[in-house]
Amino acid sequence: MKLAPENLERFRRLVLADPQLLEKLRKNSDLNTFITLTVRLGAERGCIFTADQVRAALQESRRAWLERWI
Amino acid sequence: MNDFAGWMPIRLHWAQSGLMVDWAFMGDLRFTEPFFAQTVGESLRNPANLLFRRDTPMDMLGELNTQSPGIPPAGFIFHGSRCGSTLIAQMLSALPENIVISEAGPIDIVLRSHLRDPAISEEQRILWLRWLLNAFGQRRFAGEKSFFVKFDSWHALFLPLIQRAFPSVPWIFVYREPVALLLSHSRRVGGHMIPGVLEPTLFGWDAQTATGMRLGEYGGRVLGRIYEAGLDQTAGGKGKLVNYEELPQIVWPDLMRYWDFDCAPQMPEAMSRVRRFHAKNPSQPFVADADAKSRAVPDGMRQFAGQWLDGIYRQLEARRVESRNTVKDG
Repeated sequence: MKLAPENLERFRRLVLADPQLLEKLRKNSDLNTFITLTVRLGAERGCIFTADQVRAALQESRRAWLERWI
Repeated sequence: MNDFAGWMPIRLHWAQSGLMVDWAFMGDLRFTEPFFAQTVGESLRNPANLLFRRDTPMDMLGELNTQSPGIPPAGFIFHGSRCGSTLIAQMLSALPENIVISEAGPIDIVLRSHLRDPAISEEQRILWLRWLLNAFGQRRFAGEKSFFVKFDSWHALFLPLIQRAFPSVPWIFVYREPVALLLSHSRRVGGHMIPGVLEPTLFGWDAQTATGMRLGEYGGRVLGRIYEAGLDQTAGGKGKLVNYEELPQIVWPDLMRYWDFDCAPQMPEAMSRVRRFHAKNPSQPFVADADAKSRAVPDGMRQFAGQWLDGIYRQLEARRVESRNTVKDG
């Protein structure tokens, strides 16, 4: 899996270390709401990244799963 | 290791350092879809589960194995593909006390890892398999007490290794009359029936031999190898043979008792409901199609069945009938 841009990757590590934060994000299954929340929660923790970068990271995660046999 | 509560290994992938584990949060999602990948796909529909995944070396599975023992496997299902094994798995997963992992990709990667890296020993694969099944057998819901694994059809070829890894787990091999089996594949071909999808060495052929076969011949011979493995490994009374024709009645209580599941004589309604629907597509009702299939069998198919499968099928049947009589006599 390729790394997302540095700040998003830093935020990803924060989320993985904080089950409550992950739960908060999991409650938003609507894609646009999730992306907006991710950008905001990241910014609140000093991790600045864009909605497009989140979309690209989601696409990369999906690709890694779909291409699991390759 | 509480950090990994609710997380499951969904994918193994190769990095320079070796095999890596891709973990996804499965939370309160039980494995109830016909196949492992479908339930994982369901979880990944949540964008947070898709984006926030963990990537660890295989050793993390070992740590989990040491620190958080899961429910040990109660039963294994092997099969010749299109033989009713998905129905069995679906009937099992209808009961909330069962964890059922059906054709999980990570298991396949571990079993075939030596074909990618010949330095990976059988001992290593046994260890990895134990670790993986420990992760899949983690209790996530109160009341879960039995854990079942349905393997991919070609994993019957790995039965000696799997039995070394789990010598006390009772297993079954499900098979079916060869023409009906080939007809099912002719409608929607299984991936393992296509040359090049799996390593030909798995079946004992070099690449040149495999590519020299006609498509139908290749598929017929692959199925023949899988049936042979089922026959070889049930020698000496090991395992239990199940013919498609015995489904679904044999599941409850015969198979459940074979798997040491404490059960009443009457099949629970939740399990009974499953058999009324198509196992791989539960939104569709089940329609028995054996008669319709027997009317439209191409000659080539009968020839492949006769050449590669019929003889082994007869031997499987003879052994199954003999084992049932032995039980009755006993």
